[in-house]
Amino acid sequence: MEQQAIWAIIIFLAMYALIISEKIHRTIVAMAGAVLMVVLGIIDQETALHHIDFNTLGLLIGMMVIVNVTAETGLFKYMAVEAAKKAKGEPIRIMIVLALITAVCSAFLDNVTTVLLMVPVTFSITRQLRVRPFPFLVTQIIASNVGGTATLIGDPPNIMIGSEVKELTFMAFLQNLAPIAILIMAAYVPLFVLLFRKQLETTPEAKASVLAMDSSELIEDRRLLIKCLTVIGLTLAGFFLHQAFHLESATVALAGAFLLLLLTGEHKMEHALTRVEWTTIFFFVGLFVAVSGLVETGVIAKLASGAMEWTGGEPVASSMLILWLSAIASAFVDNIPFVATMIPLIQEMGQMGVQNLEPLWWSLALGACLGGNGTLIGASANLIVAGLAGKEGHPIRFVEFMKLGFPLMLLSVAMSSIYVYLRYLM
Amino acid sequence: MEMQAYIAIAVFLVIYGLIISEKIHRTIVAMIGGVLMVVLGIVDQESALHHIDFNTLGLLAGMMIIVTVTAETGVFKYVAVRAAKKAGGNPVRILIALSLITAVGSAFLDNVTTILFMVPVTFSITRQLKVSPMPFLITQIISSNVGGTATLIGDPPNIMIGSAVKELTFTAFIYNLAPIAAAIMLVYIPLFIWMYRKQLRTTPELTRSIMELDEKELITDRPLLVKSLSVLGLTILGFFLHQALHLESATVALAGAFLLLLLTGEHSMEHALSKVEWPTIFFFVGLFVLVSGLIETGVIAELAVRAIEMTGGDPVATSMLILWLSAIASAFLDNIPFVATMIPMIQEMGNMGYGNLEPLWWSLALGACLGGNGSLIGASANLIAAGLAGKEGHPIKFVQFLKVGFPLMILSAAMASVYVYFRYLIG
Amino acid sequence: MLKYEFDPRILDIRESENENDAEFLIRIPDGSPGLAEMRKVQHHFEDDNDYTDVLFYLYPNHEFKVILQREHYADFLAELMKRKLLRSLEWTD
Repeated sequence: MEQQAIWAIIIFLAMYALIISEKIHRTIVAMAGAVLMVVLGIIDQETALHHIDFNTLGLLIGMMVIVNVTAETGLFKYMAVEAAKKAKGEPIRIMIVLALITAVCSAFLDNVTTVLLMVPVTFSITRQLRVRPFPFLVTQIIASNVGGTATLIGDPPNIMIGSEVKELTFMAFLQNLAPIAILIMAAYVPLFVLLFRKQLETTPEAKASVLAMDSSELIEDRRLLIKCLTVIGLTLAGFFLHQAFHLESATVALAGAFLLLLLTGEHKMEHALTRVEWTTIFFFVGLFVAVSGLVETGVIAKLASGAMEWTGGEPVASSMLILWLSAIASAFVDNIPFVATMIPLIQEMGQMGVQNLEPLWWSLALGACLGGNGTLIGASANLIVAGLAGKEGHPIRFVEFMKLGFPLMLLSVAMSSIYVYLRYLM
Repeated sequence: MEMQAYIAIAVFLVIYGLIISEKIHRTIVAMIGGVLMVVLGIVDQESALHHIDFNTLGLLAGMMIIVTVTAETGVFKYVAVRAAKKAGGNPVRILIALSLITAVGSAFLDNVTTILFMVPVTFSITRQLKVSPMPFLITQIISSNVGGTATLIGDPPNIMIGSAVKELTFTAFIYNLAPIAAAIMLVYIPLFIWMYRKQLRTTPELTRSIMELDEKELITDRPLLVKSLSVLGLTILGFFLHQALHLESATVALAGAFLLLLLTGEHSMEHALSKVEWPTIFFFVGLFVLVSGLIETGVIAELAVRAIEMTGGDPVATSMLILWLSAIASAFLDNIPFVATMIPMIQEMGNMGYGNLEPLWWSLALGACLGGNGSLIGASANLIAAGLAGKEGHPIKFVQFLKVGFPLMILSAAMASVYVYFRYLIG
Repeated sequence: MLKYEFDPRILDIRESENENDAEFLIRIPDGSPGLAEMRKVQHHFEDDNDYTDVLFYLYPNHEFKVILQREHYADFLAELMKRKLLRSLEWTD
């Protein structure tokens, strides 16, 4: 048994190092690690399957399908153009409005999906205004990570926590995390204005051409739009009520997804399913299995008892440790594997007698989600935006981003610490 | 409890009806059915998940990834052109060669995948020979269903059976099913020649144009070819040894898939993952959940009791009933939902004290796989080939296929009955 | 240089330069068959994975502003030609 635990740790550390090095795609590394755990007999396939959190996967897949179909309606373009007109074509105001749209969308959609929808629109508007896209892209990245913190479905760490801990319902996430996410956004908006005010100057003609745009022609398929909005509405209602109906979130999301496909007909299905980010899904599968090797060999339990001894099981110290550790770790490494490791660790602490786990869960969620703003590699959404921007000839540099993101991240984590302390630990 | 069973039956029948009607895509219907079972509280998500056979899904996804990457090397085209040249450019001999390749390919790859490779090559060869592609397409469809019968990974019914019944290993499938599949192919080949001999005439010039093709040009990426074939070989070796290594087949297939992606690098990954047939995978997910509703409410157990009563638990009668029922049902319905329903029923019969289940499993596998030849809608590979042919202006008509496929299917099911009787039931 | 001719009954094209970009102002008269074709051109450039090659802005009265990178100039005109929105397209010295 000891021997197996050592093997599990070696595989896990090697895998983690390879993921951080980014030499090989993280999905391939995670799946290879998972296969090794099974092939070396550390766990069998049956046990590995039980550790894969299919609720997380089902929820992600369902939401991605819904978004893929909705993106075809032109709704997101429409919203952006309307927003630009409402902002009177003033670049700084457009930037703030787009950041707020990103924050709200990220709360209810996957962050990566949200930025994928926002980036093309941003390029289109900045080109017309003849301003640099950089401030727009950076503020959207930051807004997406803050917005994603607010709900169970907003960000992968929250999805994973909500799916593992049945008591934390959709409503619970909203009640506990949305207030602090809103406060952070409220603090960020004036800072954004202050930081970018001077860079965003445009000509009166460019403003006029934005104001003259016709947004009504952007919605190409009105009937599809109605179907999509109805299904999204029903799905969100389902999330709010999922506890009352005794349904899990994956059932709600998949029910919404296939109801939408039923309404739109099969020609949308192939496209919607192919566009699901399967690389991300398999990354999750690999990670869950790799972490299960650590759980089954007792490594996680060891770590938990170590953490308990260190903080003496004291709630304030444990919460703050988790919050700051998660934030700093998530700034530099992928937060998904980090959270996948932390969840069983916190559960283990619960079994060892820590009374109230709730502050710990919220600390983990806040740290892992907000930490993503620390660097350009802190969250998948950051990398996606950077990738797209680079391809379009506007590369976002690591240091350039960090100069803004890291201080803003520290500010938000400090705010969260106060919030967690005052609300749960006093 | 009674009430829930009736609701489960109602949902199941409506969904089954909708799948047969083909008005709405089967994946959407099956997933809606699965969701209904959970939403109506017949099963909860947790137990529904336990009924989803992730081993089947992992095996399918893994093999699809390996095949997608391998296809990029052009090796499948190479094999077909090489076979055509070896056949001396003679159409009838090419027909036989391509059928045999399809049969062997289907034994180790998914049938649909095999057909997807063979159809384009077939069109290119028949166009050059100026002969009708129809005989080629029909014989390839039939060969793919026979070839798929031979191994655990050849056809979805076998994958599902092999995954649900741990004792039936990869080698057990080959040992028990490959002999009869080979025998059926041996009987079919002279029949193919006799049926199509007259339709397939060409001129010496056209024959020569086939012989002048340079198949080596078809291999587009030699380093990739070496990687793909090594991984494919290792994976198949893994299947042979999976019992000895204490690994399940999905682990073997996924290990092969991600080893290949590790070797080829990430640019292949996005493409390979998006080419996995996700609609098929979700069709399975929906069906497993749908059937789990029947299992959890005791409907399947009830059916198993009735079946045992009907045959009096007699092994010969039970095996023959399963074999012929599966064959006829699979000829006209999708065999995947049928097999998904039959597996728990046979397991239930085992729980009720029925003696040796093995003949029943082989009967189910043979009936469900071979039955696919009975009509154009009997198997997904048939539909895919028909769809591709129609798109190219050579539609395969339902009746036209039925006239050839149905008698051949009855012949193979009869051969399978004799085989099962003599190998497992006598004495 | 690329030289093109169009039919004013189908559409009207005005071209201007703007730093590294070319700008087209394309107006399509009411009832012209060009509108459906122009939308296809728009889809062609918007559905690919390159977000900033050719950008479309819609204005009232079927007016399209198109901002495109210089290196996609020929691409865009060829697409218009393919959709029969241009009468001729040829290389001149």
